[in-house]
This record gives sequence, C-alpha cells and structure tokens, in this order.
Amino acid sequence: MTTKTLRDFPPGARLIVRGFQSTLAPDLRGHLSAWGLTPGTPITLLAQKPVTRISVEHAELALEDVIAAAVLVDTAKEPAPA
Amino acid sequence: MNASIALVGQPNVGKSVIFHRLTGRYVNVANYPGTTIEVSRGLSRAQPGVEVLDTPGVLTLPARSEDEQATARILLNEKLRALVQVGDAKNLRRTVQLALLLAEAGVPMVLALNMMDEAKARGMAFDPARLAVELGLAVVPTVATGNEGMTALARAIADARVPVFRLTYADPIEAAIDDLALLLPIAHLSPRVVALLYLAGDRATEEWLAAQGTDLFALAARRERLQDEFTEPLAEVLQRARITAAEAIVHRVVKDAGSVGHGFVQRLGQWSVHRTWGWPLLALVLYGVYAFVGQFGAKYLVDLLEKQLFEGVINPWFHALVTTWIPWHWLQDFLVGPYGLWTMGMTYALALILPIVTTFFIAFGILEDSGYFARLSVLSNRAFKTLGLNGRAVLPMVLGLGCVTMATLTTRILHTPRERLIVTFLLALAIPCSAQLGVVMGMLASYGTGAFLIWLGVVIGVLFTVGWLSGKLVKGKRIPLMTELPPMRLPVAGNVAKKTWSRLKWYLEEVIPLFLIGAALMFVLDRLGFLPWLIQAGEPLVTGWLGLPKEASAALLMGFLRRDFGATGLFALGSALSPEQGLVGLVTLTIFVPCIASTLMIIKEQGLKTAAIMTGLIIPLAFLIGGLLHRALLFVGFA
Ligand SMILES: Nc1nc2c(ncn2[C@@H]2O[C@H](COP(=O)(O)OP(=O)(O)O)[C@@H](O)[C@H]2O)c(=O)[nH]1
Ligand SMILES: [Mg+2]
Repeated sequence: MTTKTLRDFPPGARLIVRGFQSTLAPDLRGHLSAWGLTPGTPITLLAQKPVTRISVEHAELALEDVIAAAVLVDTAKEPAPA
Repeated sequence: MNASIALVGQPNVGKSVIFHRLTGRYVNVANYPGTTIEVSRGLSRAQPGVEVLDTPGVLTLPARSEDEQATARILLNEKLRALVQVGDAKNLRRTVQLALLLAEAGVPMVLALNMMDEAKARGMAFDPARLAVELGLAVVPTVATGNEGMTALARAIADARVPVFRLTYADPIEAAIDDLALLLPIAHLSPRVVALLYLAGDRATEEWLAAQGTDLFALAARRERLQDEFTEPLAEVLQRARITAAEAIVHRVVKDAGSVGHGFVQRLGQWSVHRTWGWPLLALVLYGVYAFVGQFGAKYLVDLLEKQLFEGVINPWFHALVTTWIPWHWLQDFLVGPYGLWTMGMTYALALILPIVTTFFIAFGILEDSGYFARLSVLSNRAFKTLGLNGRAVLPMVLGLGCVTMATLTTRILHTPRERLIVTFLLALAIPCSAQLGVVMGMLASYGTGAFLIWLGVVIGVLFTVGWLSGKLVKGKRIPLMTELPPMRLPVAGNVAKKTWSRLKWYLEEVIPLFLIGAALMFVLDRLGFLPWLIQAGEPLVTGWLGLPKEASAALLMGFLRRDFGATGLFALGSALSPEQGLVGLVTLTIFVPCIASTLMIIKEQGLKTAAIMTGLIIPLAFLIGGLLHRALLFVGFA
C-alpha cells in the first residue's frame, strides 16, 4: 500500500488517486469524490504553492495543504516508449 | 397547478444562461460556483403557460450545503413535466455520474451537454448519440452563451420521455430499495430514487419524509441494517457504484479525451494563481479597478453629474420652480432646504452614489465573468486563514465593497454556519460599501495621503484583530480551502451589462426609497426639535470623547440610516472640521453599524438575536476606536 500523498510530488507530475488518509473528515472526503477524486482516477499536479492545484478531467481544483496531504496517490505508469 | 420544467445540474455549467434563453428572464450568471442562491422561476417561451425553474447547482446527491439542497427539494415537491439536466461536456464523468441517478427518477428527462465550444477547443471528441443510447434519454449538445442548440433543446424538452434506464446496484442495496419502496409515501419521483436518496442520508429527503408523516422508525431501521453490511458510509458506497458505471459509459462514448487548453486566456489563468506572478497581476487588477471606480467613477463622473448637472443646472431650476410655485415656507424647506428631499435625498443618490456604484458593479461583473474571483480565493487564502476562514470568503467580502447588503445575502455560498456568521459580522463591522467609500475617499483626499493611510491602517487593523478574535471565539472548526477553479474566460460584454443592470436595479429599488425616507426623517426630527436635543445630549460622547464639534451628532445619527449618509453629513460640516476631527469622524463612521437595509438583511439571514448582539458589539467598538484614535492623533500631534 502506498503512503505517498499529493504533497510529495513536484508540479507536472501525472498521478493516480489511490485513496484517502483515514484522518480526513467524511464530509470533506465526500466532497472530493464528488469532484471526481476517486481511487483509480488519473490527475495532473499543477502547483504546490500558494495552495496545491490539480486537474481532474478538464476541471481544476485548489486544495489547501492539509487536504492535499490526505489524498493518497501513486505515479501513473508512463506508456512504454515505442 | 401546471407541471413545470426544472433545470438541474452541477454548479457553474450554464444553467442560468440556458434559463435565460428558455424564458427571456434574466437571472444572475457568474463564472463562480454558487451564484444562484435561490430558485428562480420564469415562463417558457416555447411552451406558453409552462413554468421553468432555475436551481442552484448540486455537485452530487445527497447535497452538501444549504444552497445545494434546493435541487432535491424541487424534485420532491414540484410536479415536473420535464427534468433538464445541464452538464459540462468537457467534464463528462461528473455529468454522467449525476445523470445516472436522475435518469431513474421516473420523470421525463433531457440532458443538455453544454460548453461544447470548450470541449472542442480542448480537442475532445465524443459521440452524443451513443451517450443518448447508453442513458436511454435525449442528449442535446449546446453552447448556451453562443445560442447554439437552443432550438433543438426546446424541442427535446417538449418531446421529453421518461428515460428507459436502470443502474443495478449491489444485491443488498437492491433488496433494501425494494423494502423501502413499500414504506414510502407517494411522490412525484419514483420510489426507487426516493429510496436511494434516503439511503444516502439526504437531508432534504428526510425532511420531506417527516413532513409527509412517514414512519421514520421503520425506514431508519432498514437503513441501519443495510449499513451494517458495509464498512464505508452508504452515501459513499452508492456514489462509488455510480462513478464506476459512469466511467464505463464515458469510456465507451469518448473517442479523444483532449488535452488541457494552452490559449492565452488559459495561460493568464495559470499566472493569476502563480506563487510569484499572481501578486503583480493582482496589483495590476487592483490598480485597474481603482482607476476605473476611484478615478473615473468617483472623481470624473461625480464631478460631471454633481457640479455640472445638478448644482449647475437642475438644482437652481428646481429651486426656482419650488420657491415660485409653493407658497408654504416649510414645504419649500422640505423639498429644497438643507435636509430637503431633493437637495439631500435625490441629488445625493443620483449624482454622488449612482456613478460610483455603477462603475463598481461593472468592474465587479468583469472580474466575476472572467473567473478571476475563484483564483483570488487561492491568493487570499493565507490572509483568511488568520480569520479562521478560507479563501472562498473573498467573494462576499469584495462584493461588500460594492454593497454590504447584497454581500450579506451572498454569504450563503459559504459551506458552514460558522463561516457565514464571521463573514456577516466582519461585513457589518469593517467593510465600507462603495457609496460610503466614495464619500470617505473624497474627504480624505483633501486631508492628504497620510490621513488616507491612517484610515486604511485602522480599518484593516480592526478587521484583522476582530476577525482573528471571532475566528477563535465562534464555535466550530475552520474548513480548509477546497474549491474548483472554473476556466478563465474573456468576459462577455452583454453578460456584464445585464449583470450590472440587474444589480443596479436591485440597488436603486432599495436605496432611493431609503434615501428619501432618511431625508424626510431628518427634516421631521429637525422640525420637532429632536436634532438640537440630540446634539446637546450627545455632546459628552461626541465632543468629550471623540473631540468632534457637537453638530457631528447629527451625522452619526444619519449614519444609522445609511453609513454613507452619515459620511455625507460629516462632509457637509466641511471646514467646521479640522483634518484630525474629520479623520476621527470617518473612522468612527466606517466601523459604525451598517445601514438599515443591511441590518434588515442580517436579521433575515441570521435572526434577530444575532443581529442585536452584532449591533450591540459594533456601536461601542466604533466609539472606542474613534476615541482611542483621537487621543493617539493628539499625542503624535497630527494636525
Ligand atoms: N464557453 C462557454 N461558457 C458558457 C457556456 N454556458 C455558460 N457559460 C459561462 O459559464 C459561466 C457559468 O454560467 P451560469 O449560467 O451562471 O452557470 P450555473 O451556475 O449553472 O447557473 C458563466 O460565466 C457563463 O457565461 C457555454 O456554452 N460556453
Ligand atoms: Mg445559476
């Protein structure tokens, strides 16, 4: 199981959502999944400052550090070079 | 009652623009999630006599905030001839996920896939016809702002059918739905969807069931039994099922997912939240607003209207007219005397306030339509953190600089009662509205830059000190920033114009009567000898504590009616005030209670008790700060 979070990657990283830290309040978690942040979803990290920004589908979300630190992610596998 | 048409969907997808196209009735449209805070109704142009409802958006059901609950309430309480889901074509997963629930509601339904222009610009390619087959309903691609697909949409609405669609949930859930269906009262919705909403713990549904006299005990017991089979909350289990299904459908429908836009406007959007470039850009925006509202509106236009038009032409003419044709001296005074309806009320409202407010609303509308405000919430988050809030509070706070009353209403977009309470209080305390700001700026200008900086410093200091204290004292936890940033767009002139006009209209309807009442009241109080009495009675406080001439009591009293009205009262004292006195007076008035209209709004939104407590805190605080400032200024020898 991965323990990396959104805070652990540099801008530009392509990531896959794996889940949420169990410390995240259920309503905040519900909000995130309503925005499409569910396990398996590919996202792109856009920035870490002043707050963490990511894009999901064609939507852009801004998340303060405590929330970003509660989103568990993995690097997306780059397609094998041809 | 006739069955109506309801527009539902996620926030900021174009529901209100479509509502406007379908009905011809304008409602506030903004590139910011949460601007439609109440349900609007209008009559359909295509189907005479049929009502169309515009709703605040809902990201997903069950709803998560007060304004989001409106959607479920409409579904439960209104007899609908058609349900129109408006969806963002470029965010299909999210759109389909909501459609999967709505399609089972047993109501004729159409899906309008809006913002097709943006989906195309990002290189997205998908098959709407395939989506229509998957969901068993009519799918109409639209560009609401470009008026594309609107005829097709109107036709699809007229022909709408109940979707032939069923999403099968896990077995225990299906069993619970069947059991619940037997216990539920008759609704306009299918029992299946009522059961799904209830299982997810939707508040509006629970309220509706209670109002129908349903046996909530039996329902709750069944829900608990189902919950016992899962480790995650039911709401999440249900949503997960819909997301999985939505993903599968989107996968079959989309041919090309497209890529992030790289146009100039998009790039501007990225810069505006950049850790370094965001700040110079903000400075540029602020300067632009200042030049337009402060220089062009408050100086140039006010001068043109007040000096040239009113004092130069209209007022002398009206004065002559009144003194010639009206024999009674008191009535002459009532109309054109120093507190006269015309001289004080109308001149002031039309020549002084109108230009300032109009330019402010135009600037606000442009920023709002471009999507800049959502980005401002990212930049300002740190500052709001010290107030126990998050960056989302920036929208009502900035709107407050236009009109505090309107801003108080807009606090509904905030997620928790705690945030709403703090923002409402700070709006009432330390945010001067554009009308007041205009007068304050005018007066401060004649005292020099130092005076302006002192005024600004004191007001911001009070804002942060009191905000920081209330952040600590008001019960509840701070919610960290979590917001969607809508794409940056070039503002549409027509959109900004309509928005400015609807705000202005609201403002004029509220303000002009109050000005007139205010002017009339001052006149009567003056005649009855109350003003002279008050000036006498207020002397210890006003002269002793604040160091102002005793006539300033009248200005403070007028400040009760409208804050800017009070500032004008000070303005009218003119050279009777030293710069030090003017500054103390202005600071006191800025912090002083908000105008009658916004006090009424606070009562409406927060209740009488909270409003009374706020007023009870603000008035002494205003005098306290004013008096302290007076002493501090004397101490440093400010002249
Ligand atoms: N590019 C584009 N923008 C749109 C379209 N429809 C609406 N908008 C813009 O999207 C924003 C949100 O619109 P609004 O009607 O307020 O959304 P609502 O929250 O669903 O009522 C506004 O800035 C509109 O001008 C569209 O089809 N294309
Ligand atoms: Mg709307």
